[in-house]
Amino acid sequence: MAGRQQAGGRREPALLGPKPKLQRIIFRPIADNAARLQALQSGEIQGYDLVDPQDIGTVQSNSNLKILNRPAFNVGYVGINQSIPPMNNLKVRQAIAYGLDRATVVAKFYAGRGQVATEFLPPSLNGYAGKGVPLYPFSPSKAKALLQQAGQTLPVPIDLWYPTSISRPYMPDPQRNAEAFAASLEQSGFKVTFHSAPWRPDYLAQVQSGKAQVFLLGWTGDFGDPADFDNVHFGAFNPMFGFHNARLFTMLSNADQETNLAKRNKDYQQAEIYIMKFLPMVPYVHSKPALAFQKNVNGYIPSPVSLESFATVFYGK
Amino acid sequence: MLRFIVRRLLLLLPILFGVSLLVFIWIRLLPGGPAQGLLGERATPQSIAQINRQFGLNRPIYVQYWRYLDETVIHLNLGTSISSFRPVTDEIRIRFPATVELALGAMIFAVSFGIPLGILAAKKYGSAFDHGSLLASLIGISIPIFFLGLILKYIFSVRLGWLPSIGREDVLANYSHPTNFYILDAIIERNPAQLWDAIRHLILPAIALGSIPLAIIARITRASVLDVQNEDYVRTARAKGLPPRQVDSRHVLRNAMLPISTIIGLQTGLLLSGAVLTETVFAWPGIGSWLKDAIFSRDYPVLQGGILFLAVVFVVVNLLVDISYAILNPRIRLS
Repeated sequence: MAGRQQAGGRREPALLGPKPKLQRIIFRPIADNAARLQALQSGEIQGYDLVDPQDIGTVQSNSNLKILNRPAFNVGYVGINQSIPPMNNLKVRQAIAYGLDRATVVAKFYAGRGQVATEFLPPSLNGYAGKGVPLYPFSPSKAKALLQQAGQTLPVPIDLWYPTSISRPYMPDPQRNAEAFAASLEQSGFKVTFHSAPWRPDYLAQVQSGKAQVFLLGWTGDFGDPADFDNVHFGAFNPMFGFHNARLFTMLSNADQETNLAKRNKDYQQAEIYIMKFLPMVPYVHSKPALAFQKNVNGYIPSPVSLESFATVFYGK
Repeated sequence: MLRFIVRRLLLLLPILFGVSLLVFIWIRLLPGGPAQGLLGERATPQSIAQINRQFGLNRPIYVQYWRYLDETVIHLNLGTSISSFRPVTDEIRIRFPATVELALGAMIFAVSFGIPLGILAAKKYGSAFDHGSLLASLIGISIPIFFLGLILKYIFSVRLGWLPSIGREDVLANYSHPTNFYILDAIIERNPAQLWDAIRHLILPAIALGSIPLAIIARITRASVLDVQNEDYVRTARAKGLPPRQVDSRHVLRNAMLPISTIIGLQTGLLLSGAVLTETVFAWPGIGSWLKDAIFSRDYPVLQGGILFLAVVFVVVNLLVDISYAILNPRIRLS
């Protein structure tokens, strides 16, 4: 919204569907998290999206405000670029998976709003396997054994990339995530060297062009289909992950073309199991983004894909 | 004087050429480009190539520079923002008045309190007031603007509810803005409610932004007055029996204002280039946050056009400072 303080909409009587209860809605761009919270506290706005995890307690302790949860529809992961050795070795990737203390990171840095991810798809999405997926519980001894089996000399040096100047729903504090992961990796036979860059476009340019060996990234779904997660990332050669796996590409292509929903779900579940065996990345969190509202704002229904109608929103009971 | 002004304005041409070339090269040396800025996580090699083709970024750099010169110099067109798809001139027309209002508000606050504070501190040299004002200046310079802004908003908006915390005006109001200078618009429209609304929204960001200039102006004023009041001509004026107020206004302040006016001019010029932190904390739609976003999104037209525009502003402001110097000091005018 170039240079404007707001954009808005008015109730249009001629449109079909439920008649909106509000006469007018005004959207205000406020870049700073603290400024959004203060505007809500002072009553200048009635609600805002993407509440910082550290502000959730402040909102909940205010009797005039409330938190709404958007269902988890994202994934945070540690990406592995197989075009940079020794990441092309499956045992090394497995060692990374066993060497990441995901449970501690999710418990400490997600303000109780994260769930440890065991596969790439979030649980709410069709195609989520649930069972049969190889799990990689944190085990430094297992990681070291795998590295030795891979013929590596310990410690194995790796470059870990994380973005700065950004907070994402799946990664509120990338630096702390990176530091915690580095600590657990170094217990597990790795020697971590950090690299960081501002999120956009520097960090994304480095990662997306295949220059980052191991990196923190994530994905929020655009629509409710597993293709938006799996095929986008692993359906064809992607410089970020640096692998050519015809079997995986074919699996995902066939699954995407399947029109029978039950079969499609099964195909994606199989793909999920295969992805977690192949390990192009290690997923670690699905998080629930939060919205904050004045207590008297009701009828707002958060959508996992942020497609929300204001037709049902009203003031009062 | 006229020749001086014309000569300074002619200097604009090589300055603008140099700035345009430097900015053009510098932003292309930064990693990533507008495609990654626009697409973010959704960027693929194909989509990046498509965006680059669309904006001519796949062409040789000298072709891109020639196109840029052709647009800006010959057609006087600063281009279209890659992020918002709006003409850069449109964005400047909306954002620059916001920045000017904020900068002037901050400087009015800084000058109104800074100069009297500095004069009093000089007059009560060595007293508790003098030491206190020095301490206050140090605090003013040291405190981060964003922190001060958040504190001011917490006290006056959240707790007391006296002043708004964000924006330039009440969103529910439907005021007319012929110039985009909200206070001037209110005067033109002869709307007291509109005027008070614009002033209310300006108070907190102006105080936050003006805290550092206030501290600097107070210190410079104090030092300058201390310097001047010990001069022979001031001693002579006192010896002649002139009333103290006349000595201060005609001799001390007039001469003390020379370095103070330079500082005021330089500070104003700096503030006119945008106050990123203040604009972010108060959601003030000015030039600073716009250019900061353009750096992160690699919005080449905005960076090229916006920085060029600010170069012109800075040169003009410095010219005005020099002219004011000549007005204040007849020796400079005559030389």
